[in-house]
Amino acid sequence: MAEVRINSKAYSVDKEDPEMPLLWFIREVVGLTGTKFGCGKGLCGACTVHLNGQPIRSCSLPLSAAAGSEITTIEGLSADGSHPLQVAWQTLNVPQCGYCQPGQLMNAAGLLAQNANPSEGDIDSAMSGNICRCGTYQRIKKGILMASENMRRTGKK
Amino acid sequence: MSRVANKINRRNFLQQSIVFSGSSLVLCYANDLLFPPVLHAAETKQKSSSFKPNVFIEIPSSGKINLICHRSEMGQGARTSMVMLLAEELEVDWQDINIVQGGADASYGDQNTDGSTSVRLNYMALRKAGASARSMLVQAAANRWNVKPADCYAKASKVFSKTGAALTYNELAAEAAKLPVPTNVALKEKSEFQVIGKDKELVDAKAITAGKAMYGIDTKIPKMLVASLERSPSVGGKIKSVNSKATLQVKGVQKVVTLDAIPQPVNTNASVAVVANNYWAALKGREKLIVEWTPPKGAQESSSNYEKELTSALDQPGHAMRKEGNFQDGKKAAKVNVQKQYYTPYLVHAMMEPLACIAYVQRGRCEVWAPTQDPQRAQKAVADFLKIPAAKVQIHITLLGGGFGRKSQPDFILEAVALSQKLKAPVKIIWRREDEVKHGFYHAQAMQRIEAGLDANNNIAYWRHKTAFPTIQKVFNPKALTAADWELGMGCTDMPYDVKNIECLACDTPSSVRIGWLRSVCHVFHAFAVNSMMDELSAGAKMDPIEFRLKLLKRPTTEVKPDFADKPEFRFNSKRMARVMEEVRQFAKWQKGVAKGRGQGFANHYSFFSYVAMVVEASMAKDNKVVVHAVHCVADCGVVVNPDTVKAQLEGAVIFGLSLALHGKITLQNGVVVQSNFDDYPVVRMEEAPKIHIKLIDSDEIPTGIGEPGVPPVAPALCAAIQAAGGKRFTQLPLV
Repeated sequence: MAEVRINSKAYSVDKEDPEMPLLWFIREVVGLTGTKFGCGKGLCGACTVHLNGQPIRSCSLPLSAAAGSEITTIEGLSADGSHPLQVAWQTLNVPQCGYCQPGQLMNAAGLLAQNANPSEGDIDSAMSGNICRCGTYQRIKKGILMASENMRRTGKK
Repeated sequence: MSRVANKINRRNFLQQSIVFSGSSLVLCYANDLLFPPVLHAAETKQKSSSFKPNVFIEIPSSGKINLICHRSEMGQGARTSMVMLLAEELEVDWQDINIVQGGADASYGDQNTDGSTSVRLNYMALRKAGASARSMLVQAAANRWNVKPADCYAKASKVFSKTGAALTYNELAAEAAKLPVPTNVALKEKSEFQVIGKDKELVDAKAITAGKAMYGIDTKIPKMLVASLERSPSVGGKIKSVNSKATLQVKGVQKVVTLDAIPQPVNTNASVAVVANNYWAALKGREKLIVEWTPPKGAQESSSNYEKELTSALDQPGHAMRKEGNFQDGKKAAKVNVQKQYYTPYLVHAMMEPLACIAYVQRGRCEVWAPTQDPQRAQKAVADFLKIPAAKVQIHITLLGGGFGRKSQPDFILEAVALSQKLKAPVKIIWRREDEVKHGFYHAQAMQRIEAGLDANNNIAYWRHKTAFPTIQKVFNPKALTAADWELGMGCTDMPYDVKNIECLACDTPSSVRIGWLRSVCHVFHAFAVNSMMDELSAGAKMDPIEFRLKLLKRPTTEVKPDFADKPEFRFNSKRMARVMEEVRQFAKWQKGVAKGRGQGFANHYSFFSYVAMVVEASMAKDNKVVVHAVHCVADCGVVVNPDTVKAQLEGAVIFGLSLALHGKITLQNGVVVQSNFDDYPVVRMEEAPKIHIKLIDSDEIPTGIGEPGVPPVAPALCAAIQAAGGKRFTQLPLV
């Protein structure tokens, strides 16, 4: 039985079209709508989730390739909104419409898991796959810097 | 009704009283239809023990205090600022508030969330609503304690007496509900504000960061089907043939249905709907659909011809929308003459949430869930389409993942309604990004020509501004060809400098695509041309561009009527413009030690009654790549309700303006849009984003717009910066 684990819960994918992008499995079959649809071509980053801890664009990953993996969505980033990035986002009032933000947060979390002390240039490189049409980039960058400092100080991951 | 359609009737101001049968509300319209009504509860007793003095406040006998937001939230903070306005005068503890999103209902007044109007239109009305509710709660407490209301005060959801007794709003609700609503209540002075003027986190920020915020595209209702639509590639195309054999074999696909085009003012195109029980199946089914289209009659636009077509439009005499003095006299007096032509392309909105809508048509009624900016326009269009009363059409406004004006159009709602009607089932249509890019209501492309000259004293001797762009009015009237006075009033006829001999002319030009309004609308291209030409003239005068403009602002200007209002407090005030210009000059350290290879450029613009001045610092790299280093922006939008949100709107407007300056371009081939997604319609990403510095003027003036005013100065300031850095002066957008 082929399955995908999402936020530590197992879901069978046997009944689904193996070509179905992971994004639609997450949104419609599992019913978690925090992961967003923005472009369908891996260009905008709104669909970013973690696959075995790495940020990937779920709109461009078929279920057949996702089977057997551990997926984390925005709903699984923390139990209660307490991830240092989520805290920073609220402190700095980062979101405007907020539609791109789950993807931004998941991508940023992936960056911080790899690089505990990113420079502004590192952040630009890591985050330029995530589009924000409301233009919150400056605050996203500040949020990442704030969260990384917080995480280094408290030893939190 | 959309704000645009309202403007066509804006001089028909009526005083109306409407009584809703079966409800306990009496509705009185204020002076004009644009301003929200003052609402009074009827004299008759309220049935429930809830206190509902107006449509914005509902206080039950226990539990949260319900405050209703009637405006659409698309990131501009409407759900926060509308509630702040109510809360200030109501004297309620923020923790006690439950925010309810109001649906389409004329009793709320204007719900058309565009034109940067939410705070401006509601600043007084919501404060009055909060104040009158508070005074009734105080009266109820005074009655209970047998004291005078003046001996009581309200604070943090309670009424207190001088002796220290206290009653909660919940406890007072039933008695307050029996009292008459006062017609006159005193409002706080600005110095007394506890809520207004202080930074407030957006009310949805926590849900957003937890992934729990629900947008139109996330909404679901039981038993709903999902559909993806294959639409006519060009406006007005018809279905010739449909082969759905392979589509129907895709697992999950239920039906393939055709939909007819719906004409103005809805403007949908013919389409084939692939209906399924899950979205992936609908998408997959649509890939296998084979549709032949009959293109519309008549010549179709191709962008390869644009320069020729638009230049010949500009060569027409045009329709004079402003004419003062004598152009020839001005030419005779001129010592410096400049003529430039400016081109700006079609743009698409590209908000992050593509369009989506759920509609459920049942016998004699309809329910809709949509991320709409204009719910009342949608309600009317649905009622007209289904031939049922508007009262039977319920429009639920979901959170919007961005709008920029696209979601004001009811097309995406009517498609879902028409489909639900055909299917006799609830259905959700989700647009692909390609659909949003190819089936837009585009920001009008524009070609402008400005001829201007300086006299011996470096005053503007003459100014002739011809502007050719397809008019938005075609959304409402298929025969419309000439731009409206209010379209030219967005940055063209209201140019604020002292010129005795001035002509502003609209030149007709058609379009093969639907034209709509995109964040700051015609200000985008008019501000580009006017600022660019003012820079040319300042160079001709050998003066600093800010100094040159200030000199001409200081002289008395011909009174120009801004669009959207005739009220004196909204007329252009040259002192307020001068102030933001002088402030940004200091803020940006204008021309004080700019690094080698970099340049600073200036632009200013007045739009939606607010004043913005901006300095952009940019450079051009060896490969002609533009690098934007910093943007300084000073804005005066009157009294600021939520300062951090206002700053965020300006930060966002800078990014939005840079996207259109650097990248945005929609082109057509035989009436069909060429672009499809973010690969061929690029937008600014984090790596291109400059450091943005915002300063807000602390003002006592009536609040004016801020969602849009930050956009128009960006492109001209950037072009000025590139020229200052040693590059050429661009007169066409986009730059890259």
